[in-house]
Amino acid sequence: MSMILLLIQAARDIETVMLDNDKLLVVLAVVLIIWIGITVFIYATDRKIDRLESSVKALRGEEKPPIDPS
Amino acid sequence: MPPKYKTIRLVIIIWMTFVLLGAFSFGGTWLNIPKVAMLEHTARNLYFHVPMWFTMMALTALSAVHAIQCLRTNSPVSDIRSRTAALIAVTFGMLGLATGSVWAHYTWYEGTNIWWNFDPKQTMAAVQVLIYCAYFALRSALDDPRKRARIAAVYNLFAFATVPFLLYVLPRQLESLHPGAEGNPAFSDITDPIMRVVFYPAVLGFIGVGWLLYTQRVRLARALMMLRSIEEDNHY
Repeated sequence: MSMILLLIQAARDIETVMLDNDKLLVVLAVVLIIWIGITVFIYATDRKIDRLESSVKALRGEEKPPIDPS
Repeated sequence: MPPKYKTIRLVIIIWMTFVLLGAFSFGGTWLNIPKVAMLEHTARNLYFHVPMWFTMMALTALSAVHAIQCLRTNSPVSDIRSRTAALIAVTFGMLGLATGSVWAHYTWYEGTNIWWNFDPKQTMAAVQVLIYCAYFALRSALDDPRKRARIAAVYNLFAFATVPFLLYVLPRQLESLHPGAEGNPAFSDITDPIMRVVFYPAVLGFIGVGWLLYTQRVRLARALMMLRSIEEDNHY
């Protein structure tokens, strides 16, 4: 019972902090969500490039030297 | 992907997260910034708008270094690096123009309908972005990859030579709303010194993000180049 009361109190405290300072922290929350999304995207793109690179390597076979168009 | 890249990527992302937390620090914390008339909370744009230009400058320098490398060694990878750095530089330049336009509209031009007012620094920055856009127009006009790499590298060096003048020298000489005439293009008298605590890490963080995007694009372009050479091998 006291646990639930503590949680309610914590939620109220967060509410107070979020609404304070002209609701500036709401913008921070939004920016952090966007940043997490971009981070996930960067990691996903890296994984895709990893897979592409390994399939290119497999296609080329390891015995051939890199082809220099110049 | 080398483990070193993974470490750097993680460091950049954690670093930027702290920069964002710092950028929104509020009353009662030690990073609290004073409220200045007209600017109000938008003073925080210093942490976002100005690093766009620093990132662009860093990437144009990187692009020029690889252009020199390309001219010296004729390596197609240097050409890819030079081109990719220029592409990310243009991207950040356009973000800088867009963010500056929005910021100015709600501060300097508050109560007017002005979004673009040909402030000297703004004009020079737009010219700078256009000079780098022309680099891509030049590239698309040339078909032979070797010739394209060399001609583009020479143009790239000319483009880079204009950067210090357009972004540093000229804005300092002309009457402008931007800080700069007093000698420092990023800060003015009303910029609280505490803002430097977030501003400099923000510059490094955004340069890091630019580097991540650059690295991804370079790897992608290299893989595509190899695929194309495999195709040619199969064809002949």
